[in-house]
Amino acid sequence: MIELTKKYWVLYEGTTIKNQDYREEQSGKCYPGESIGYAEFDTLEELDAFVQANNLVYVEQDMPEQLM
Amino acid sequence: MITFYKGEDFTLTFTSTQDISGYTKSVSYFTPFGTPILAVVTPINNFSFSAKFAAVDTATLKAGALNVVVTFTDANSNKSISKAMPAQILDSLVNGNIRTADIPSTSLEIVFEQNTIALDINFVGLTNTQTTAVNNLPADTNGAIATLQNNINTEAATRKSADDTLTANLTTLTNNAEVKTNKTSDIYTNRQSTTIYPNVKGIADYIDNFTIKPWVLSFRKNGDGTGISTINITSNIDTTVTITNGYLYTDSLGNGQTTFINLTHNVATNVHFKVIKNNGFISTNNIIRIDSFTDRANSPIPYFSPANLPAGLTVLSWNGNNTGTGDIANLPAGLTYFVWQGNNTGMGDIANLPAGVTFFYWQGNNTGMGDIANLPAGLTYFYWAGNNTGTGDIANLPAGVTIFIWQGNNTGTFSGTRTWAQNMRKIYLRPAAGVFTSAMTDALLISLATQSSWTSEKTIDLRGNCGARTSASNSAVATLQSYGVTVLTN
Repeated sequence: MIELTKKYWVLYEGTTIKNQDYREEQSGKCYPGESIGYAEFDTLEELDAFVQANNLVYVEQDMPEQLM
Repeated sequence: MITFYKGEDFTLTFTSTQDISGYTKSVSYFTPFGTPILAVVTPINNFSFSAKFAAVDTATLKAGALNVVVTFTDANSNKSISKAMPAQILDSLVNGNIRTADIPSTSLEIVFEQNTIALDINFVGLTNTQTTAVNNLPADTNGAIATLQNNINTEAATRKSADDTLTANLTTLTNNAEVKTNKTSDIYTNRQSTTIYPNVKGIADYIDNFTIKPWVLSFRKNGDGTGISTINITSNIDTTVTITNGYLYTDSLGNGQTTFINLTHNVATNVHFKVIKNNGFISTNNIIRIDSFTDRANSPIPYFSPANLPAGLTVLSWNGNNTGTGDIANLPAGLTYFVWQGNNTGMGDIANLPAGVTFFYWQGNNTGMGDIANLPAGLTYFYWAGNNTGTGDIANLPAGVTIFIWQGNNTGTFSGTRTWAQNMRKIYLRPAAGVFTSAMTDALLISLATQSSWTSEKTIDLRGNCGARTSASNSAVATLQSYGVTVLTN
């Protein structure tokens, strides 16, 4: 079982970051799904460097999906 | 004693243990003082023969004792011996007699010099029915029955004609109703017919949908009042938006100042405006959707509450920095989509949400409450934050929920048994402290791992005040990961 336990982690699919709070210090443990990319870091600087190096971006979500 | 009925065909079989082929057999029958009638005798084999009694003959008998005389004639000596077999004949079945007393067999011995012929006689071959019995009754000599039959036929013909007329009228009415319903539909789609004959339901629907229903939304001036807010609204009729104590514009930059904006029915339209006094308001009619509200620096702030929403509203997406308040029990009854964000201080029991709500998203500083078991049955999307004090067992959520995000001061629990919907998307739980135990966290993960169908977010986040999971849910977490689900726990 893959388990992330460091202070910072980023989850992504392609170049899209999935966890909105990726720049915040995390609590608890993360067990990423098998189909998702992930990386964990001890410092925010390391995380930012990884995000920049891999052109990862977080896309702000608008309102919740509107069901017609 | 064998019993017969008048007006029936019936057959007797005579069976001996010895060869009786050397004898000529005849059978006659008669009632007292009547003329004997010969039955039709037919050999069956060397040991037996049958005698058929014709209905046309039995109909002429009088009820009472019936003598059946069996005669054997020796072909060599031409000597005959006859023996009577007592029987009984009853009136025919036509008056309701029920054949319950029949004795289907008897026996008879014929002593022929030193030869005694023992015969077993069986009643077989009843072929007639009650109808036959009726047909075999004596002739209708005075014509009374024929007259009655004619009367019946005449009455039947009259009634059939009336039925045919009613059926034709009903068909005509049904066709007319269909035509008129179609014309009613034309009103909905073309909105231009004036010479129409809608049916009653069509009239009711028309009145309900298209009667003018004014709606006024008040705003107060914010800051210096220079900012422009935007509301996206849809009406189900062609109408206009006007403003009092403010200005309307064709874009959010303040271009195209105007006194009214046209709304085309069923077309979502952005209305840009600002107010210059605290009692500004916009006026329009028959709003069925509010899809967004956007405020900006120094732009108007609406006085919003569920009680003053348009009566026909089905979609409410009220975001921005609204400071609305009020009880969700007063939301329009037909609402299906409910989003209330901003700085609202709404309140109320979620049990009082409109029954048709499928999308529930309530943020802000709301103080809502209630058991999640009482949410509308068709709910699929649940997002409840703010200062809510909701309660309940997550197992009791509506069956179709695929997104479940619950924050605030909720005291939710999980009992451990639930069938999750297909295409699950997200579980995010942040309960009040000390409520959601480690055992509940394990149980929820184990339960969620029974659903392999996940899509979109594919996230389960049980952190915050949720109890830490234990090794009891190791297998469940591994299973969820294999489904592509990311699990976050303490």
